[in-house]
Amino acid sequence: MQLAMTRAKASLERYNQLFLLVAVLVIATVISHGVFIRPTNLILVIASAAAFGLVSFGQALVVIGGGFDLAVGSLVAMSISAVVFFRADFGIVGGTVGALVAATVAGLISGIFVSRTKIPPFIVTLGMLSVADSMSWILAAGQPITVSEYNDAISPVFASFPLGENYFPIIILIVGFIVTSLLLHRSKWGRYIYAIGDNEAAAKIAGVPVMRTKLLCYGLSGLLCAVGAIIYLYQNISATPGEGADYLLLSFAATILGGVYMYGGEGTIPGVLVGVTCLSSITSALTIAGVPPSIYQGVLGVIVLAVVLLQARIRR
Amino acid sequence: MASYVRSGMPTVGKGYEFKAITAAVLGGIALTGGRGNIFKAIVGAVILIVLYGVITAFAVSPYIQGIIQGAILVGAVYYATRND
Repeated sequence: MQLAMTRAKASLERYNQLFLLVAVLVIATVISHGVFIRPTNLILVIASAAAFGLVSFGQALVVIGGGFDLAVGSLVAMSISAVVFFRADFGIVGGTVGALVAATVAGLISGIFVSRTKIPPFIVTLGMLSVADSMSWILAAGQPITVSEYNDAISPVFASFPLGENYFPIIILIVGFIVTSLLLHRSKWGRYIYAIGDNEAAAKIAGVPVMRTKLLCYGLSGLLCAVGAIIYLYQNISATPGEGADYLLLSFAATILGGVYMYGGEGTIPGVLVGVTCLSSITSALTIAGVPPSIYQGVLGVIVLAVVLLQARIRR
Repeated sequence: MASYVRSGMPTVGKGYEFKAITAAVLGGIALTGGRGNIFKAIVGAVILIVLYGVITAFAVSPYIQGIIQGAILVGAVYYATRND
């Protein structure tokens, strides 16, 4: 019964998200005098959303499960440095695997602390934020980072298409979307995540493996941070240690905008994709309209506050 | 193109929220609110300052400080919530 209720609510929310998406697209088109809606620009909008979109999917899993992951930005930074660190000895393939493993392990460590101790997720992941930020400097030895291998190897594959180098991030975003959607909406683990986010004590009594589910959420969040970092390096080639910290705010903004309830138990991955697309569209429209980038963060913050306020209102 | 230009500016003051929370936690303020008072927070801040002094005195690499801070924060909260 309750499951049916949650389902019904989720589908209702999905239509809300569609409405939001249409509204944002129209506003973005108007602000940019029609430039925004051109196909070439839309490809850029989605491609530039890929890295933080993947991070947001991980964040959404954690938040729907009743947690928080403040470490995502630093885990992206750590993964970027880990690629360079492991590349030195094992080549670019080793670097990639090393980064994926390192971020997943970091996520799992957060998950262990959250599920085995009474330390609030906020504190655990804040601690992990600090540790991962340090690790990003240690692994890169404080030096600027350059990784051109991804772009060199992958972008020629799509070279014959117009704007071809943007297809790889989009494909990875779609794969990440499908995998996390299937996990959350079509598997028993997804039902566990909703159950824990809704009422952890009840879920435990009902026999939900709380600890393993939380490990899965935090571990996947870490893994998706590393994938996001690889996309980041593909797109930007160079970085400085600690770069990627912005993804923390972006991932929360996208998750909340995507209709995920901040205290867990509600939200969908398609919704989060809408949130991600909206944020990327707003940024794109502001850029085309010639608004200085320095105020983007402020605009983001205002949008997040407004949505949270609205959520609180609806719930009262 | 232009939509790729995202601000990647290091935020000035980043890390202060971290220090403030650590200080409050070390001072024994329960994060759920209700318990603790401002003097305890000050005690926490003083403990933190002493710790930073020690870290600096032993010439620990600044890169490692984040790991130590994180460990102190999680360790302190673990100690506080252990018997709840």
